[in-house]
Amino acid sequence: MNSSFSGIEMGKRALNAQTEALQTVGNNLANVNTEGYSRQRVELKEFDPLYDPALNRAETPGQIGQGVMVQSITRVRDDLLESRIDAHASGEAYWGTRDKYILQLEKAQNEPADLSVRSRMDKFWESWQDLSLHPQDNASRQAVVERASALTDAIHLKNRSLTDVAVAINDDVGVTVGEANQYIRNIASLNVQILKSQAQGDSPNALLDQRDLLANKLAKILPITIENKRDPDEYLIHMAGVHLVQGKLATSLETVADKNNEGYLKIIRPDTKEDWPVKGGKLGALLELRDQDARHEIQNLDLMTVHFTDLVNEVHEKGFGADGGTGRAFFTQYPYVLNADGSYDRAGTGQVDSTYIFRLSGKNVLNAQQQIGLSGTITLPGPKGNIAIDYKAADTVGDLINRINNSGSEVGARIDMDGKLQLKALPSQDLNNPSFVIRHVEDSGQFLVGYAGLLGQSGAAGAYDWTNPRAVSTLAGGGTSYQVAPLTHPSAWVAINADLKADPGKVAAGLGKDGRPAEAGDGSAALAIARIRGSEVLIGNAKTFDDYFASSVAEIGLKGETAHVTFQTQEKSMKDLTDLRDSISGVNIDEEMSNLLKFQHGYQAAARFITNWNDMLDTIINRMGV
Amino acid sequence: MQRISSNATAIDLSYALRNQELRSNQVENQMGSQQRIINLRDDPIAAAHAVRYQSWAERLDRYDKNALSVQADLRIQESHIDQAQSILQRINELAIQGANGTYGKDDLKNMATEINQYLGELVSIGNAKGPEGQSLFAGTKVDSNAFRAVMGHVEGSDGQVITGVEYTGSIGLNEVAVTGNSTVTANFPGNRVFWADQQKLFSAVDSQNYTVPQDTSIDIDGTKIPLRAGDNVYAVMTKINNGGVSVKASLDPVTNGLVLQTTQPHQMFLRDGNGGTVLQDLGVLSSRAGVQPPHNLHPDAREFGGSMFDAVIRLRDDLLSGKKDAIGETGLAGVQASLSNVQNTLATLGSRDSRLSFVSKRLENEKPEVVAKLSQETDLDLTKGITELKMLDATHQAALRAASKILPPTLMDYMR
Repeated sequence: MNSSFSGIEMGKRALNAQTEALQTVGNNLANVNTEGYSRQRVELKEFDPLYDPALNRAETPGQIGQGVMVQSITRVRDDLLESRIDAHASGEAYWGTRDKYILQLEKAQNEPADLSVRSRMDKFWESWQDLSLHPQDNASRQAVVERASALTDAIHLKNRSLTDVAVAINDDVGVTVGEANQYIRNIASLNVQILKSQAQGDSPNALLDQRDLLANKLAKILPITIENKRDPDEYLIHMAGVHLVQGKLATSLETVADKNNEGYLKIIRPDTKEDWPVKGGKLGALLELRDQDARHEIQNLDLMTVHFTDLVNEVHEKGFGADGGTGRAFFTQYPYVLNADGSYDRAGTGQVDSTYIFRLSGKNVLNAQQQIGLSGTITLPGPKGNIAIDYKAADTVGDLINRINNSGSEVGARIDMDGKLQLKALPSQDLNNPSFVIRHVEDSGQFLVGYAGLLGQSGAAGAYDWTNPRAVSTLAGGGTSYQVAPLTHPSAWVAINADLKADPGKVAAGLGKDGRPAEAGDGSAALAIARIRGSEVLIGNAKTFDDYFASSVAEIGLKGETAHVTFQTQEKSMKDLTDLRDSISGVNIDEEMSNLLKFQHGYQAAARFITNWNDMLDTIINRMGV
Repeated sequence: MQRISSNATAIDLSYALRNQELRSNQVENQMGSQQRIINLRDDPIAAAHAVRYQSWAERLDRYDKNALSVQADLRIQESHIDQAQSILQRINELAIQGANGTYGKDDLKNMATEINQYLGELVSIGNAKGPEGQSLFAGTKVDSNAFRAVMGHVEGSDGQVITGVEYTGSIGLNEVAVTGNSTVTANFPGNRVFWADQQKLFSAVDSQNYTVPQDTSIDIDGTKIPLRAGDNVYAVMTKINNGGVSVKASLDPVTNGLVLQTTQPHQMFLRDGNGGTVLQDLGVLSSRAGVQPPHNLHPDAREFGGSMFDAVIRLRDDLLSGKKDAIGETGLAGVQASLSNVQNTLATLGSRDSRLSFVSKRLENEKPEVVAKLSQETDLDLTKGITELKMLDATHQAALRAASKILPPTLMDYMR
């Protein structure tokens, strides 16, 4: 037999349950526009029966139900979809960042337009052509100086634009790392709160939503993996094998200035202080953009500048100005170290330990079509270790030079205007090696030794190596020449010789004959310099200046196109995923409205039931047997 | 998807509108700048091509300018040389008249006076200056006069007359680029244009047993001829004859001295290479320091053949002294040799001018084609641009109209 008031209890339970449900509906409606909110649903369950089947049960068949209770209020959320979204987020952010910054690198090219380095250089060559027409004209010389100034200005501007982009990316790295650390800390503290709440049996939906939102934001920045979402004590976020968040423990990213990379920030592991590579997400994209794309653009510009000034100077120094003076460089050279042999103290110990030489020239005149008649192996430095280049007796000098230039080594070869072999250093890919420094030259045969007259001895004993502070002593004497490496980033400081700016009459127009000064009408030097424009001068892989400009435009343009298209694709597929999530977890006002009606009716019915039961009790208490 | 949340339509709308606005903006930018390529990423390959075409078009412009400039310079030179030709023809007539033995001494003297005036005029033609003040016929030594007249007294003359004309220019040639690989010579040195006979140089030194002491070189008309140690005079002569210069070397059978003779009428410019003394040892050049060609010949070497001025001076002197036979032989021959040399120069000049005309024409044909290619890569097709803009506009309006209806009535509106 049940108690008299059990009905009222049941009604009361029903009222509570419906009220809670109504409140949940109200909560959903209130949060219809909240970011990261997933709609909550009340799980109603029938109240447990009064007693279990046992020996002390009542002797009446059937169990009387005891009403309804709220089992739980859960979020409607698909965790697997969440994982997919998190994984996708880092890809989308990566390409989005690339898209944005590569556009800035493209703009720095200023092409195809009249204000680019290329068009200023075209005008520069033209001024030399004009000088070759009227070598006695002072006005033509002034035009040469003016055009050269405009060109150096354009090169400085481009360098500054590119460097500005790199610096902006570096700042962004700092800010992003701060942001990531903030998220990591917040997630860890949320885990503490969630743990407390779940320990008491509650389902802290708001906190869980917040944590998922922060995890999503973090996934955009770093390529993280999230595991064990259900267990707040074991909730794990890790990246590249290092744990960022584990339960309530948080590990921050640390940055330190990298002295090998212009003092830009690099990410290190906080425990071992080792390099911590980040590959993916916004931070990975920023690091790649700064250390590879922007750096490559600046190096390319430097390489072109170094080559260009070297070629013009080579001819100009042999020419004679209107005042009869010779041996003047057209572009000023600032050496890396003011030591005639290029000896430099790299390790900072107080003793010179390296040689910084940019160009080596042999002393013998070579003919590109002549067969070498010797065999051996030349060893030159590459991006990762040394590269061996073989030559056989039947190879021509031209063949061997092409082979050296196509071998991927960081040294290029050419025959200069006197017919001598020239080896020039290229920019280095590894951050630990300085650019425009020849690191190693070795020949197991006689080509570089006796044939070209560059090295003093063949084999490893006679090898030129930059770790030897007296490396120039390994060169063959008498007639070989070398030039100290230029100060870093030649494109930032390239300038015309101040003497020429002050007195344009000193610009050389003629080469003279056999060392005799050039006459007033001799325009052979001007013609030779103007000819550089179309000749094969080999800058890295580009054969002529035209090739260099065209390929640098195509390269950055293609990178931009790829970034843009890939970003758009990623954005679209991310939208599909978020649309799906929204369809699962988003609030639908109509649905909530009908739920509102449902629970309202439920509440009204429960109230009606209580009223009836109350009437029944009233009959018993107040009217029975009175 | 089985369920649409209330925000779904708003999200979709903002996504679609955003993309549309991006596209409209891009087309508007293209229309505004008339360029198809705003950023390099819009068409990287076309941008790379465009960059090359731009540089190429500028280069063609430059070559065209060069060709026209050289053509103009050559025509100025031609007008002077043409005048010299007319004068020489008049002198030729006088020489023929004078050689005809019917004139008396006074008549001959009058002819000589006329020829003297013409000589002065020829010298000033030789020293002609261009519009920028540069000497036209001095080779690359354009800041000095090409010829210097030496004054003196001659039998039969009244007062000082020109007794000699020396060449003070150089033999340098000014090369101007008119295509990528080839050049055109823009000047004619005076000692080739205004020359008469082949020049012959007889050395007085017996060089039968001469050997070159060390590796050196000699310089003939600007071309370097290398010599090895131990070469005897026959080897030297062979090298000169095969050296690609218009000079022939031989050994005089009587004196065993070196004989240098031009094969085209011009004045030889001889020099010893750096540190060498071969031509000095062979008695061709003087060993005095500081002398430059063509004034550096050995004082004992005999020189024959001279310039146009020498021929005219000789004719005038013969007329003044009344040597009729000489007039008819050497005088007339010299003038006629000068005339034929000047005519040769005019022919060369004419052919150079016609070559430059061809070059200019070719460049003028090529330039528009390069510009057309450039335009194809970078210019916007106006029709396409306008059509796309109109289409985007219509789509945008339709989307906005649809958007205004996205707040449909919800259940809330129907519940009292």
